[in-house]
Amino acid sequence: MRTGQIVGLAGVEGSGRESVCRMIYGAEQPSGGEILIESREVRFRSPADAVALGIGYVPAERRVEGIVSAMSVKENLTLAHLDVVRRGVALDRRRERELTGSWISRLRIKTPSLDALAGQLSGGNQQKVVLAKWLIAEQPRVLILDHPLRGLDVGAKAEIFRRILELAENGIAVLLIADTLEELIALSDTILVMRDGRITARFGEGDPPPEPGLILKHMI
Amino acid sequence: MATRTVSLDWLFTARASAAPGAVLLAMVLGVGVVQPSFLSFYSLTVLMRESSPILLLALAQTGVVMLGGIDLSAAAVASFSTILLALLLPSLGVWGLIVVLLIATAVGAAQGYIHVAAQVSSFVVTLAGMGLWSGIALSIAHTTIPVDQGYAVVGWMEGSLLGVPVSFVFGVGVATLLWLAMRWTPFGRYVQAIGLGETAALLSGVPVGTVKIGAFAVSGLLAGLTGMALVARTYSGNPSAASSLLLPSIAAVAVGGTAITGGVGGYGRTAVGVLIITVLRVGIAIVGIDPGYEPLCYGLVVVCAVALTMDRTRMAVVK
Repeated sequence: MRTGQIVGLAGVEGSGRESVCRMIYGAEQPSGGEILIESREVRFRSPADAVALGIGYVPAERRVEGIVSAMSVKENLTLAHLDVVRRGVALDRRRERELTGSWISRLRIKTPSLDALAGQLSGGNQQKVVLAKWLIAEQPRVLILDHPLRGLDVGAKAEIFRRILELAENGIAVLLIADTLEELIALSDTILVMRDGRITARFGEGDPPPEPGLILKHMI
Repeated sequence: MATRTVSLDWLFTARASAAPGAVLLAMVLGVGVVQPSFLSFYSLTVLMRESSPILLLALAQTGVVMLGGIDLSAAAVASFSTILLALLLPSLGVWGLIVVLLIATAVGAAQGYIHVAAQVSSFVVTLAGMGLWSGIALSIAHTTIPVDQGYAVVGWMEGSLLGVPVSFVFGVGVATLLWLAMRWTPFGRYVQAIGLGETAALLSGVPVGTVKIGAFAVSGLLAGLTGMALVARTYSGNPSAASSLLLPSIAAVAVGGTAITGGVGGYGRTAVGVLIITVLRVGIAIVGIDPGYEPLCYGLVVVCAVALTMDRTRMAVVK
């Protein structure tokens, strides 16, 4: 993967695409193989290790894995990178409010207040909180998006869709699993097709956009 | 645009944080009406003195409960510490105290490590720990070991500061420090996040294992401090010195309004919960209730107090 590139993973349920994402993020342990960052091999024992190297993960199960529903919007936004709002041993609460406030307006997150519980927001706004959680630090290098548009209404889908393209334009490498092949084709620069844990086809940049039928053929 | 509307959340939160204090006040006044001498300064200091070991032990419990776990071993570690203190104070003096506190911290950290690394629930690890540490304490000393030489190292806790028992001032000081840490440090924020949504916290890169081991280590240290308070109180070490305090200390955490499922509550609430429990224990006797009915009253008040004090604004379900 290169900076600014969106790589889409296609495959049926159980083809191993979710596992690949979770392994890169350190949430599952691989049985073999290696993960290279800037051609150096890395080994993540937990997501905390991956986060430290600038990798972010937007999980498919937004309400359980993406946000802590019973924490405030503000607390969710800074959870992944609390060091950004730390001064000495203590949290700098004023800076936390300023920083989260600015991201709320940048991503147009609709929330009654910074202290509203994240679980009370609409799905689209929750998803924006999860995205912003990774943007709040210095540039993340890699974002792994597992079904980022799942369960969103049409308007929210369009907005998150635009945000993902913007992220890539800003130089973030994006690894994507989408709900439909159409979404995947529309967003990705490169598409890797997986079947039974192996990559069976690759549609790269420069090629004409692949037909869904062609991708499907490699999936099953 | 970030819309700024007036949120009423703070009102519910304020009500929930005031509730334990209100329950405490009602109980103190209630007992005072029946027995006015209860409100005298002297009997209040007796109450404070009585509450301080439970306070330290309940604080030990609170951090782990905030994670959504439980520490059944805290009282056993405290008893174990009294034995170690009784053995080490005469020869090592203040170093003996330091060594014992380090051991208690290490014991807590070890239990946390087993909980995290072996993926055994905190209930089971600390249930085993409870047996283990009281067993070791019992095998070292079958009975009470009096402390004479070196007592001064812990004896200052039994003194008074402007008439207020030092042990109580100490407990409140520790509670204040922990409350500040929970509210103002990344560690405290992580503990709350793990208690409210461990999966999301883990996937946000929160170092869940480290935080848990840290919380158990703090619990061990506080259990060691409980041991110190008990040695000061009784001039001795005893293998079951703290065992009668375990359930009151857990009850105090719950009565203060900390959710046993984690994430909601904290050290300040526990401090108030401890006072409620102590007033309850002392008050039942003062009001003149037949001792036979004491457990009944105790149980009823605990359930009612929890129903009144729990902050449910952040809880989706109550397990």
